[in-house]
Amino acid sequence: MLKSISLRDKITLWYSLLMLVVLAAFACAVYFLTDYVLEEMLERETRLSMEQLIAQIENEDGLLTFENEVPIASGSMYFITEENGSELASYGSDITMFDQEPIEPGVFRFVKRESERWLLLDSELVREDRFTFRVRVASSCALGDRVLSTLRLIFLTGIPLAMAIAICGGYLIAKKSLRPVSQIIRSAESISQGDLSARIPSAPVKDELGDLTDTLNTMLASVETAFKREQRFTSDASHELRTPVAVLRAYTESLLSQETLSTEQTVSLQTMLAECERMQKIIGQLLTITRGQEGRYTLCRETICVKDICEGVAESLSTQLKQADITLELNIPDELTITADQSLMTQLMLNLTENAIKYGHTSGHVEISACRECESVCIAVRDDGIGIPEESIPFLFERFYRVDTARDRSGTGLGLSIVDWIVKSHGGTVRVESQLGIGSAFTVILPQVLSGMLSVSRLEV
Amino acid sequence: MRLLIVEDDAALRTILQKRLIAEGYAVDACDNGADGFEFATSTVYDGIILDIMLPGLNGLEILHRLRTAHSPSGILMLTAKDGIADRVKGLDLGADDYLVKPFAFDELLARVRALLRKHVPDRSPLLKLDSLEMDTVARTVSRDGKAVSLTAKEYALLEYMLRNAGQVLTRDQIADHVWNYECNFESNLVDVYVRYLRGKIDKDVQNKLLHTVRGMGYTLKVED
Repeated sequence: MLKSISLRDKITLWYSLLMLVVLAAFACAVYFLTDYVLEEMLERETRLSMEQLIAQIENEDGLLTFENEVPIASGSMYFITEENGSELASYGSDITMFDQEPIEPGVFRFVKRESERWLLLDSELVREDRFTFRVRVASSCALGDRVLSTLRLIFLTGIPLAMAIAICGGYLIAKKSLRPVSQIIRSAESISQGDLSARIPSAPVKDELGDLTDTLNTMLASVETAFKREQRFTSDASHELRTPVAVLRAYTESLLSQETLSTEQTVSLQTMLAECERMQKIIGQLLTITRGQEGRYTLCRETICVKDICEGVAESLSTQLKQADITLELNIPDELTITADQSLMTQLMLNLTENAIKYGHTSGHVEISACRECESVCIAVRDDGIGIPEESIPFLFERFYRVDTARDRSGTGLGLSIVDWIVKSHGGTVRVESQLGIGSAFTVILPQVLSGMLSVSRLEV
Repeated sequence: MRLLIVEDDAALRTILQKRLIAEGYAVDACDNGADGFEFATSTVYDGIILDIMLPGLNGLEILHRLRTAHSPSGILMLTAKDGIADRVKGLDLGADDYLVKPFAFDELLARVRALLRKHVPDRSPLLKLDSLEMDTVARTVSRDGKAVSLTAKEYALLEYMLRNAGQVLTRDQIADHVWNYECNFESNLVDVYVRYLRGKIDKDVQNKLLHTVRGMGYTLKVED
């Protein structure tokens, strides 16, 4: 059970337990020690009283007048009798209450009378003339018991109070000293959600957590630099490749326009041209993704009609639909609008629909449906095509990932990465459901809560 | 319309780019003279906003080189308050206009609109083709007297096509003038946008204006 509670609670718990044990042990020690000392003192006093009494008796030679002073401590009583029990002298009005107690000379005994404890000491004094005195001294334990009961009261109220203060204080101290850890956790969460620029706020105090924060920040900075450098490289490389590919394409086109070409040459040049176009497309898509991820694309959010977008996309893909003999069905409410970047939404729908056509069966169906769900708009593109193996689904949105490298050479391998970037830049999610041989469904969920609107997309894969 | 901002001050450059994009322009931006010249020569911008004081190649030098190479782009210079000599030199070298820093963004917008007008025979801020009208100041469009509501990019596409009415515009040309370098969308995005626009300006009317030229691109014109 201890495994699931937070470090803060754990520290507080252990600290409180330890505190409780220490306080309890301390209280017990003090209590029993006081008890012991008080008893000892009382016994000594009683014994002293007894000795004084006996000395007095011996001094006065059995007259027992005690004229000058009472030879006994305050709070004590005494009683002197003959052997047969007849009283010779006494001090203290209530001494008769001990009459029933048997006589055990030389032994200390505690006797309780009406909630008050007394210490009894008996003594027998046999004089030379065979006359026997019995002396009984009774000392009240009231003072000591009051001290002990006060002590109990102090401990029983003081310890819980001290514990409460200690628990609260301990909790606050643990919380305060562990606050950087909570910040580290939060930062790490936001970083794992894709914001590599996030840093842990560094602690003003240079303790172990401060050092940890600095170390983690240094690590994050180097990770970010490496990541940016990789992005930068892809972006720069794509940019630099544009011109050579454009030149290649221009020359190929001009060669193709010549009339003296053999069929073989024409076919070769046409292949070259097609590959040039494909390369241009890859470069363009790579630039779109990397620049988008670098946050260089400014989202232009507007209220747009979802149906208009899907109809426009469907119309522009009508040739491909006809070629594949695929029926496209739109199930979108007329009034459904979305606050999003129109160009990106169009590109998103183009990519998803093109994919559905590409991996659809001849004479198959593609359905685009959309609806509002609470604070979000869901757009789903469903096909009854070849489907995607389950183990491939987690990698679908990676750049250049192909489900089956041997089968699929036509696309750029970047379409779904672009989809992923567009969805993320709008703060949404995309879900893939697919069954081999039955079909696939891509569902895009775009939140329509207008916080963070018009902000530059800084989300990274 | 496609604009280029060459400005070394990062804060100013970023806000200008953001706000111009929000106005529906396709905007590229760079922070030094060498990049600025490379950008300006790699594609035909409709307008260039050029700072004079730049690291690398200075603004006047870029201006001189562009005009020597017969660049048709409208060029608006951004100058410092005391830069009278620069302004004179800039205008003499072929700049269309200048704006003194600091400036109000609304004024910059007006100057940019004027800049884009300079290169059409009709200087009116109203663009008109048949019963299709565009007010580039109020940013409104009407067809047959009825207001048409367009998104920023649809407006940008229509403005570009109206300013080049009668000409056949290829997909690449359109993509270059309506979108900036930050998004290299595929040219079928242009096809979809033409369809959006068609649905808004050519729907339920007899005299269609937006035509597809098979194998080439699109044109906006009154059919004979």
